[in-house]
Amino acid sequence: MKTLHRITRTLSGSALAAGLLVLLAASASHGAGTAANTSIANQASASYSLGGIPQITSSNTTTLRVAELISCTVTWLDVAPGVQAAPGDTNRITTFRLTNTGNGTEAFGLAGLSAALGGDQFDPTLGQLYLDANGDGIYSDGTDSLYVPGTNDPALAADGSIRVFVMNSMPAAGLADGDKGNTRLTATSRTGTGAAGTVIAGGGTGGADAVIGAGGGTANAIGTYVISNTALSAVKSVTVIDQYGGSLPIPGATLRYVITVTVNGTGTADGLVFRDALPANTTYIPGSLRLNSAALTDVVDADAGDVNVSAANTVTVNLGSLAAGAPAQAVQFDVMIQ
Amino acid sequence: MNRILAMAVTAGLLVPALAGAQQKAAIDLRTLSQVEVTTTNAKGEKEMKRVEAARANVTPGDMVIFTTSYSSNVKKPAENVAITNPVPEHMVYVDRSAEGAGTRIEFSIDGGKTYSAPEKLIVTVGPGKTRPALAADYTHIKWTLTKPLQPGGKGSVSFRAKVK
Repeated sequence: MKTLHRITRTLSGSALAAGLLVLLAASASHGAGTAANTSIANQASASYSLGGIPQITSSNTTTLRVAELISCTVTWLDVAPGVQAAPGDTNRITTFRLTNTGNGTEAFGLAGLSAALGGDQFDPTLGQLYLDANGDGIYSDGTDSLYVPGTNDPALAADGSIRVFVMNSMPAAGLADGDKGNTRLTATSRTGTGAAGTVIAGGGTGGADAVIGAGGGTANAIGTYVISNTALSAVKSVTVIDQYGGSLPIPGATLRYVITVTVNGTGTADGLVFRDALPANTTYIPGSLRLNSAALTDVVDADAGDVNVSAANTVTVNLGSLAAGAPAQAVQFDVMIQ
Repeated sequence: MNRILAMAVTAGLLVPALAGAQQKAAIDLRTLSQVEVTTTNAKGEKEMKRVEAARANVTPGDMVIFTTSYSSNVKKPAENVAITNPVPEHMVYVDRSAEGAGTRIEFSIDGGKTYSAPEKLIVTVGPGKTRPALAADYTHIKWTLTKPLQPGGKGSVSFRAKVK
C-alpha cells in the first residue's frame, strides 16, 4: 500500500502569486499613451459661397510635439505577509516589478535598501540585485543578470516592465517567529528627477523635451521577509480490518489510516492544509473521515474537511494555524480494498 | 546662359506672388493651438495662462485648446459659411468643449462624411446593436454660421482635445 501523504502550506501561495501577476500585467498595459516625440498637427478649413460660387479656404497648420513623460512604478510581487525565511538564511529572494509608465523608452537606475526602514522587527542584510533576463519571473542562477548600476540599467520601452530579484540574508540570531524584515527597491529615471512638471530640455526620446511626471521620476516599493521557525511532521499508520474479524489485507477488507500532524520548532504555521491522496485500488468508505475523533462530512461545508471535492481522489482537511508544541492533530479515514 | 538666369528669376518671383494670392482668400482662417498653464504670480496668486502648444511640453492626458479665427476680406457677404476641423490624430475630443458664437455645432463620427447633432449620432457596435456616440467617437467638428458673414465681419470657434 504505497500512498503518499502531503502537507501543503498555503502561505507559499504560488497560485495566488500567479493570479496577482496577471492582474498587474493587465493594469499596466494601458498607461503610456501617445509616444514621445509624436507630432500632432491641426488645420481647420472653411467652405462658403460668394455670390453663389462655392469656395474653400484652409487655415495655417499648427504642430506640437509630444514631450516624454518620465514616470515609473515599482511593485512588490510576493504575497503578504511576506517571503518566509529562517534565521541565518542567505540570499533569500524577493521579487519586484519595475514598469515604465511614461510614453518613451527610458533607462532606470535601481537601488536596494534594507537598513533602518522601520515598520519591521529586524533588518535583513541586503545582497545583490538581479534582473529577470529570461522574463520567467523565477530567479535562475547563472541565467538572470547581476545588476550593476550604470552598466546594465534596464531600458524599458513605454509600458514595458521587468522583474527585479532582490537578495537578502537573515540575521542568524535574535529573531522570533513572525518577525518581519523590510527591504526596499527604488527605481530612478536616468534622464532625471525633480518636482512634477520639471522640464528637461531635449532630454526626451528623439530629442523631445522630457517632463517629470507626478512621481518625480522615481518610485519605490517595500518587500517583506517573515521569520518562520516552524517544522512540520506527519506520521501515518494503517490498520487492516478484514470482513472475517481478522487483519488480512484481502479484497473487501478495510484499511484505517491515521495521520498525526505535529508542528515543531518555535513558530506558528499558518494556513495549514492537510492533503492525502486515496490509495490506488481502494474505495473511500463514505462518512469515515475524522479529525481528532470528531466526524467530518465528506462534502465542503462548515467543518474542516472533505473527500474528493477540494482535490480529486484526495482527503483534504484545513488545519488552520498551529503553534509549535500544540497538540498533535489526528486525521483518520477508512478505505476498502477493491 | 542669360535665358536660364532669367527663368530662375521669374520662378523666384512666382512663389511670393502665389503665396500672396492665397492670403487674399475671401475668408481668412487662422488657427491657434494652446495649452493652459497655471503659474504663480509675484503676489503668490495662481494664474491661468494660455501658451502656444508648440512651446509647451504636452504629454499624454494634457488638454489642448484649438481656436480658429475667421474674418471676411471681401465686400460681399459670404453665405453658408461652415468651418470644419478634424479631431487631430492621437487626440480625443473633450465632451461639450466646442464653442462658437452664432454657429450651429455638429459632429462627425465617419471621418467627416456626415455631420449631426450629438444626440443623433449612433455607433453600430455589432449586428443590430447600436449605442449613442461618445465624445471619443468624434472624428470632425463643424461650425455652421447661422447668418451670412458680412464684409468686415469676424469671429472665432474653438474646441478642446486631450492627448491620448
